[in-house]
Amino acid sequence: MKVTVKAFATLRNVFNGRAIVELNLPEGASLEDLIKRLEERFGFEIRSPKSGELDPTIKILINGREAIYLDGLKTRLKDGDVIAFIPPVGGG
Amino acid sequence: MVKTEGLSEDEIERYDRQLRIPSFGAEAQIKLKKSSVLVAGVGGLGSAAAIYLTAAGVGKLRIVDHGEVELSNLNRQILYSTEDIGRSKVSAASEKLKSINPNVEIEAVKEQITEANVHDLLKDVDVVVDGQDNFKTRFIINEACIEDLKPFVHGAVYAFEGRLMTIIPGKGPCLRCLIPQDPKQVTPVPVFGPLPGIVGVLEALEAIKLLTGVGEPSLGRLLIIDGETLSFYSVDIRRDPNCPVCGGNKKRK
Repeated sequence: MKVTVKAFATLRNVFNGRAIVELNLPEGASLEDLIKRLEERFGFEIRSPKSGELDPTIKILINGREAIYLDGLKTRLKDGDVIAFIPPVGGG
Repeated sequence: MVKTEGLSEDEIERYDRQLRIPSFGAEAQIKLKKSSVLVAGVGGLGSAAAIYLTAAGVGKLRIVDHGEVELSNLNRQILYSTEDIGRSKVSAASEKLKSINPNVEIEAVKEQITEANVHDLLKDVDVVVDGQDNFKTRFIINEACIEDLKPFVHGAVYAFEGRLMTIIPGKGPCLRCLIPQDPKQVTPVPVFGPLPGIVGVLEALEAIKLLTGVGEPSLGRLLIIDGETLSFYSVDIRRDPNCPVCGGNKKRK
């Protein structure tokens, strides 16, 4: 199955200079599987360096809904899903 | 015939185009005239917000900023001109704003916003507009707004992106629900000039809606603006029942 990943703000351009990437994942892959793939392939940094936990300030949306209100990391992805990683921004 | 009691001849003409909006009209204009707004920081966001709030006819604007105008501000901080470099931002800003609309009272406060002065700065204002360039001061303002029950229009930018969310204490998520921990602060933040313009103008729009009761504020909704693709996303944000700032379990000082 194919999913689209979008990265915002400080994560932008992480996909070899691009903010958006399409990935082929095995059927039944979870959000956690996707994040592992992004870390391996693009050096995606969304974990706290100390605890290794996901940075809670980075919102993860699956088709516009926050993953924490779905099944979190265990949320099963499906073909055509759009997953967005949205760090907070603080400029003015 | 539009009812215009309570407005001067200058005001009736100056605000003619907005008085013609059926859902706005003289009633909203008079509410606006009686209201006051704190613009917390007059950089990129605060410049755009303050100009539109002033032009629209808010009664009083309190502008707070401790900085001086620098050359690197001028790609986005449209209150200032090249000859203002080195001047105090609030004094250059208040001159500019008074020349846009002398009916508006401008109170200039050259201070850094801290936990010590934030409650004084919030006194007697009806709405607070975010003009900050860092998370730390935003969190100070957010917490004080929750405590003092002041609506807070949050805006922020980074490079080609903008964010906007209106916060009404007790009626939706606060900034701490949105950003549960202190994020890493990048300084200086890269900013493409039009983005704080877009977000600052939207902040002015939200503030005017809150002050007049016209329309519906963007409560519990984070607007994400991606200027690179010109995409606007609206994300539902929930109130965190365990939020240390606005949640039910907050320990009162």
